[in-house]
Amino acid sequence: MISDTADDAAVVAAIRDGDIDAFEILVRRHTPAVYAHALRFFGEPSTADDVTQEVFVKVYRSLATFDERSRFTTWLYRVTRNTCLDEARARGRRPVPVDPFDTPTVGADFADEVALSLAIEHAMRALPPDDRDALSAIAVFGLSYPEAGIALGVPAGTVKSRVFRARKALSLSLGIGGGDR
Amino acid sequence: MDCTDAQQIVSAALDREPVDTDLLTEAKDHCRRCEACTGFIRTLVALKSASAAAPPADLPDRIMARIRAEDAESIQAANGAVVASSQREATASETARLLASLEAQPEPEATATSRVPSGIAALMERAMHPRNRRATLTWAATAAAVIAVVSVVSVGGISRMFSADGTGGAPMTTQYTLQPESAKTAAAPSSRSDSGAAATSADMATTAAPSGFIVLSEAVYAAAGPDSTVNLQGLKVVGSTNTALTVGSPTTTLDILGTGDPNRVYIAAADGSLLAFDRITRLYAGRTYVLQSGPIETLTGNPSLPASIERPTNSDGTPSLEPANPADPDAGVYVVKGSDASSGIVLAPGAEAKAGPDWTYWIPARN
Repeated sequence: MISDTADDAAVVAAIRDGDIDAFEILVRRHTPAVYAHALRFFGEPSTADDVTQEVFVKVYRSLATFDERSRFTTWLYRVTRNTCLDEARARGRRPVPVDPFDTPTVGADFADEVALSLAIEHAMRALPPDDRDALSAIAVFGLSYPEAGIALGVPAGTVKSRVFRARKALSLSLGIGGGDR
Repeated sequence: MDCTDAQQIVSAALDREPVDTDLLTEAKDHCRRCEACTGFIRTLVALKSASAAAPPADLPDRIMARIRAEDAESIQAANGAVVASSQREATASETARLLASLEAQPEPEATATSRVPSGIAALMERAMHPRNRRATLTWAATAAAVIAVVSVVSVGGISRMFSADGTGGAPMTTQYTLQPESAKTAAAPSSRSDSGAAATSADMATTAAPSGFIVLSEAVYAAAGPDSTVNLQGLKVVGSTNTALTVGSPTTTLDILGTGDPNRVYIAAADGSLLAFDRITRLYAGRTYVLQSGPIETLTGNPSLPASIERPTNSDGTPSLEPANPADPDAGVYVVKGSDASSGIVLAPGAEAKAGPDWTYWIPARN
């Protein structure tokens, strides 16, 4: 039985050898990232819950098509993003709209972690989708700029710009950053 | 160095991107001295330290429960074909025992009315000879199955949904057509009498239906018309699909039935008829590939790229695809960038007529 500290490539190999229990390692390891992306997309926990399940079911069914020359997280991110888009498009699950001006500001006060997390989640949801997707790929799924570029179908430089733009927007909406000089 | 440059460099360094060491040092110095950039750095710190909303603690357990349940269903469906085969063998064994018991009975005293004609006795003796017994039992089991199917056909009244040439095939008692709900009352359904009179060409024109697709575990199946030859005993539920069997009717979840043959599955229509669907495959470079798709909500929908495949933004497959054969880049066959055809191929719109008008994804057949 494969160890739960094995890297994704080893776990995928074990699953392909018929070890369904190994798939649980991937599920436990990556559910937080998939759920976080889905929640920021839809803004609704029960929808995020459903979509997260759909993502892993699709991953399990199509693991045979995963090309091991790319990282598992790159492929997982692509499946997650496309599943969110499919669910919104084909099944009519629309993201809950959010007013960016409603984002609570935290200023320099990071003491209240709960408030900070809530404010960040709200601000994330208010980001333009392209910028939010790029930031999610880098910060949540841990992709590099080139990997995110492949997953998003844009040059790595575009990913870099979108990530930076997202962070600038968050800085302003959270009331943390000052103006530029 | 201005604020934007400094912040961009620090942002990229945070993402472990290669950054010139001297530039990074300069950027950090700028940020220490600049209030605005200090605020930006604090944002980066806050984003990194704050945890994203955690999923429900039991979500991984529920995911695995669902995976294991689907896995068990797949195994059960596969075993169903084995069980059905065993049942046929059991029927054959029963037949063999019956025939053997006839062999063992003492021959009744010959009379003018009860004497078994010698020709039939000789035929039975030859049929149950060890060399011929297997073939005899197979024919006996097949005969029993045919009798069962004919009985179901005559009682259940298999009806036609649509066929490739519109002329029907085996005699039918009713005609089922794929047409808009509003047209159903307007157009009289064409029908055949039991004498087998064919529907007129005018009837065919009003009931002609488009081809339809369903998806089973991302594999695409195309409608092949009603099938009255299927061994009903061997049918098991192998999956389900969300679709609408008539244009305009709501999408519902329907069981997909199978006999263990991955190339043909069935859906039971509302009137009890069995509609057959054939798996869409194609050859490429000597290998058989199976068409994959995301959800198809109605039978008139077309296959689409599964969620795992990034749709290219350009007609030449870029940026997510590259030609499967660099020596023939215009063939319309692509692979996901960085992979090869052994993982799967993507066909350009129109490259495979039977797959619909969109980009399509195909994986090597495993069975």
